[in-house]
Formats: sequence, C-alpha cells, structure tokens
Amino acid sequence: MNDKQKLFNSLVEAYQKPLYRYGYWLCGDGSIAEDLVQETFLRAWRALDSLHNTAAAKSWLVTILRRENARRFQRKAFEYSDVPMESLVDEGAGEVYSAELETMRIGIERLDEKYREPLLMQVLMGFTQEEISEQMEIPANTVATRLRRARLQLRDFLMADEDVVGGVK
Amino acid sequence: MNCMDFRRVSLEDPQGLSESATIHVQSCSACNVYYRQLLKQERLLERALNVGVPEDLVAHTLLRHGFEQKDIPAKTGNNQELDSTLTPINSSINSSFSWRRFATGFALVASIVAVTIGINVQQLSDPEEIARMLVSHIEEEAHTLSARDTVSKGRLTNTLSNVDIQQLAHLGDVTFAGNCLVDGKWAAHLVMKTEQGPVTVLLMPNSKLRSIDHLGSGGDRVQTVALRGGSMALIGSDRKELDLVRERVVSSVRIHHI
Ligand SMILES: [Zn+2]
Ligand SMILES: [Zn+2]
Repeated sequence: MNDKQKLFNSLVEAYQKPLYRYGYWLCGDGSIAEDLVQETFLRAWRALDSLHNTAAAKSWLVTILRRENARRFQRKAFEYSDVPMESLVDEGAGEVYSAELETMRIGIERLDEKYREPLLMQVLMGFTQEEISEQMEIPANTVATRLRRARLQLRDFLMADEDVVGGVK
Repeated sequence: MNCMDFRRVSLEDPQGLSESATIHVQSCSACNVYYRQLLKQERLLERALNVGVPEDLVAHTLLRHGFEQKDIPAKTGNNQELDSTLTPINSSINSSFSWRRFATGFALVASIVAVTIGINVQQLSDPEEIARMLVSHIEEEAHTLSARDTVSKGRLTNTLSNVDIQQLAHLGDVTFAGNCLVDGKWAAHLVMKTEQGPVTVLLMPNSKLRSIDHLGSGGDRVQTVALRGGSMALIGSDRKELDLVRERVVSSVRIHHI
C-alpha cells in the first residue's frame, strides 16, 4: 500500500462513523447518509493531494460532505419533514428502548437546520465554536447564539413531552 | 462570572467550561442544579445522535473507491485478490448506475474486501517489533522531543478531537501535540514534560496493539495499553514517570464513537 492509500484508508476508518451520523442527522435517512459518506470519500480521494495539513482532515471532510449534501438538494428537492418518523429510529443498535431517548431524537429532528447543524458539528465532530464559524461562514457570536437556542429548544421539547405524559393519566 | 453569564456559556458548550465558569458552578448552588440538569440533557443528546452505523460502511466505501480508482497502483500480496475481483466489473459501471442496488448484489465481494482489509492491517504481535515500530516513529519525528513551550489549549483540543478524543481534565505540561500516522493509523501524538525528561504519548483510537512493557536497548521504555476502543503507547526513559503519565491520561480523556 502506498502512503496515499494508507492515509485514505485511515481517514475512512477514523471518520466514517461520525460522518455517517452527521449525514444521517442532516438528511434524516440512513441510506442517503451512506451514499453521502461514500461520495464524500470518493471526492476526498480525488483531492487528497491538496490536503497538506492532515490536522485539518476532519474539517475538510465535513466541508466535502456538506457540499455533497447541497448538491443532492440541487438534483432533487428533499424535505426533511417528509421522512416518516420510523426511519429515524435506530433499529441496528440493539439498544434498550427508551422513551426519553426517542423524544430527544424527535426533538433533534424538529430543530431548524440552522440550529441543528452547529450542534452536530460540536457534539458529533468535536468542532470548536471558531471551527463551526469558519465552516458555516457565520460570525462566532451567531454560532454561540445558535448553540444556546438549540439546547434550550431541546429542553423545552423534552419538558413539554414530560408534561403530556404526566398530564394524560 | 454571574449566574446569567454562567447559564449562557454553559448552554453554548456544556462540556467545555472555562475556569471561571467552573469556579462559579462550584460555589453557586442554583447554577449547580441547573448545570447538572444540562449535563443530563447533553448525555441524552449524545446518545440520541450516536445512531448505529451500518457495519459494512467501510467495506462499501473502500470497494466503491476501488471501482472508481482508475489508476490502481501496483499492489502486492493480499490486494492482488481484491484487484482481480474488481477489474472485470470495473468497465461495466457507468455513473448513473445505482450503487445501492449494485452493492447489495455484491455483498459477497464486500465481505471479501472486509477480510482483505483485515489482513492488510498486519497485527504486530512480537513485543520487540511493536516497541521498535513505536521508537522508530519517534525517531523520525525527533523534533517533537525538543519543544520546550507548552502548547495552547486550543491546539491540544484540536489534536485530540481530530481523532475523536475528548479531554475531560488537565493533562499536564504538553509540549507537543500533533496528528500523524502511526503504523498506518490516524493518531494523536503528544509529548509531556516531566521531571525526568519528555514522555511521548501516542493515542491511537483506531489501532489495537497488544499490551507490552518493553525496555529497549537504547534505554527507552515502551509501554502500550489497550483502551476501550483503541490503544495508547507511552515512550520515555523513566518508569515511574511513565506510570504517572499513563494514569493521568487514562483518567483525563475519553474516546468517542465506539
Ligand atoms: Zn449562579
Ligand atoms: Zn507522530
């Protein structure tokens, strides 16, 4: 294996999971997320020589994935809200069913994309607020505001859900 | 910092509290309750986001990469099998072809690829070989040992987060932090300053090295530790310092996405 191939393989191995999850929560569909990840790595391979600073690999891959996702929108309009709720349930993880986990997932899905994406970058990809700001091309204080609002909206959603459950019976 | 400020910054990044925010939350009971609730929500958020990833995603990705790679370089050993499987199919693919249907039909090929990848990553088993590989990595990057200044917090966080490691507590005096390939795998390469000289720490979430404790001929001590989801290597001259650094690192970092 040459060095380029080695680097490529290690990038695939290291980032396929967070990128898949990122894609999943971006488009709300597992098979589209899978395609997104594959497209991302195909493009990454073609441009790998331009990656001079390997420390920037993660941001670079996220940039490619987001661009891929935008391209997908150009090809065919896709409404996140059209996705049936069932498809957001993770069947494969074998995790014990948890009502609050389910509520959280619905809450994330309902977040406006401008709030959801900074949260994905921070929690899934471990980006700093400065990195999110660069990636999304918005000022750092806007990133901070969106992260706050995202968490407050999730909290309100979880609490409203608790009220409903507690209030019915 | 007052309560308003604390709530603002904790909502922005619950797991990355600054020193002044930490001081506030330790002394303010109202914010303490608030923060605990927030951390609970954050853990739920993490769990919810970490949806299951298809097991064959790596195989499919590398397989598809193999198809579209026009100039496959000369390969040896295990890759031969992969190439001969791929070549005849290669010409029949056009860009509008639905990869999904295709991939399903060739699940068998995918499983061969998965095996091939597994074999390609040679597992070093001889402690001496493992130690030699690690020591030679450091020798190739000798500049990492000569740095004297502590690296910035941001640089360290970046280096760790690039390999999906989260820092939970202060790691000590880190004089070098960078990402590199160790044994072909993406790793975080750190150097810690200790009283007995520098100790190199290699955090390799993508490697599974067996645990060794090896004293090299050059006087270097090499330890590897299996972590939950990956391995860590420590290289230095003093055993006691190695033990201290190891304990500190193990208790201060967390590996994501396992
Ligand atoms: Zn307070
Ligand atoms: Zn290194």
